[in-house]
Order: sequence, then structure tokens, then C-alpha cells
Amino acid sequence: MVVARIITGIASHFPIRVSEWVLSYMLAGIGLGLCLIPNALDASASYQALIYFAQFSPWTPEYTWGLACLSVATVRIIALTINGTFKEHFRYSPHLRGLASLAACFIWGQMVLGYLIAFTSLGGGWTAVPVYMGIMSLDAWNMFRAWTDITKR
Amino acid sequence: MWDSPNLIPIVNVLGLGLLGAIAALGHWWGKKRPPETMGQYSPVNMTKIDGALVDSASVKVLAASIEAVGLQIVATGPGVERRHAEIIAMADRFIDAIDNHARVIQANTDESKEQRWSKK
Repeated sequence: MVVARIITGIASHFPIRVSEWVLSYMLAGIGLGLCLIPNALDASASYQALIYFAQFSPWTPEYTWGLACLSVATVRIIALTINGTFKEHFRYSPHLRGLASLAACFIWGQMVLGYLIAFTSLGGGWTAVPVYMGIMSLDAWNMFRAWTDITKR
Repeated sequence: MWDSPNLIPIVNVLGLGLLGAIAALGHWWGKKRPPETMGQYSPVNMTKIDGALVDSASVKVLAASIEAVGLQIVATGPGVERRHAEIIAMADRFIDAIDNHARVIQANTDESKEQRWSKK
């Protein structure tokens, strides 16, 4: 019964939350890869923005960012599930969605910045810059939508 | 410029400021727009009736039944009127018959009374 309700709730909201679902899986995939692949951030010079922020963390840069990505993705998936199914019992899912989108924008921003620095000064490729810019714009839009939902409650 | 060690924190501060502005804009936009017009997902197979979401299929079934009943009333209307007129005519005839019987009984009663008085 609960499973059917969750599936119905998610399915009814999926068309307008599709970008949040897809970006959550992308973040979860990146997070899982960073946690499991040793020295993953040494593979490219484009990750220097990520390495810069990880210097404040007690863990390795890979584990720090991997954990951050997984946490944001998990919070977001939980918020999306609640929003689609149990919104009458828990009214703070737009808040969680908004904060998760903000955190995701920060992560995508480090990617954009890293690729931009690599392109301008280290001879890196250009294509990743507009791709990650597009992803960040989608999450900025998701954050905007989440905040409009917060006000309506 | 791109080699500056302060580039990453400066760009991040600017970016977070921009994200804060977007969030504030969303907050303002959500207050400005009424809830019915934005952000709420209304499934395509649902119809909003007096603020409640109702399954469109059931609305169609209800509308079809109302239409069918209406057509039936229109179709049977003249028949009902004819039957009504027949019932009224039959009731009139029944009343007339009762009246005739009452007159006959009264006349018989008066006759029998006269016969009784004449005998005396």
C-alpha cells in the first residue's frame, strides 16, 4: 500500500521534477565514483577548484567531495519522494529541495570554474565548460522553483 | 587573471551572491503569484472544480448521464402531459358518475319518504 502510494506520488510529480531527479542521480554517480576511485581528482587539472576547497577538510579531497555529492543527492531524493507522496505530513520538503539545489549549484560551480581555469591557463578543453554551466543553470532554476514553493505554504 | 590564487574564492563569493539573489527572486515570485497559477502540479487527467481536483473521466461520465437523463425527460415529456390529461379527464368522469349516483340515491330516498307519509 505504502509502496504503491510512493510510486503514484512520485509518478504524479515526475514531469515537473524530472531535472531534479536526473541531476540527483548525476550527483550520486559522481559522489560514488569519487569515494570509490582512489586519487580520482589527480586525473585532470580541471579539478583544482575542488581540490582548493578540500584543503579545509580533514579527509582526502576525493572522499570530501564524494561524501558531499552523495549527501546532497540523498537529501534531494528523500525530499522529492516526500514532496511527491507525503507532503501533507511533512511541509518542509521544498526547503530541503531548495537547500539541496543550492549545494548542488555550488558543486557544479566548482566544476565550471575548474574547467574554465584549465581551458584558459592550462590548455584544457572547452566543451565541459558550457555543459557544466547548463547543468548549473538547471539547478539554479530548480532552486528558484523550490523557493516559490516555500512561499506558498 | 586566471592564475591568481584568489580567483577561486572571489568567483565563489560572487556565485553564492548570485544564487542568493535567485533564491530571493523565487521567494518574491512565489509571494506575488497566487498558488493556483504556478508551482502546483495539476495532472492532465484531473479537472479543477471549485478548488478540488476531480478525475476528468468521472466528470465526463457524470456529464453524459446528466445529458442522457435530460434527453429522456425531453423525449417522454409530451407522453407524460398526455397521461396527465387522461388522468384528469378520468377523474372528472369518476366525479360526475359519483354525483349522478348521489342524485339517484337522494331521489330514491325522497320518493320512499313520500310513499311512507302518504300511507300514514
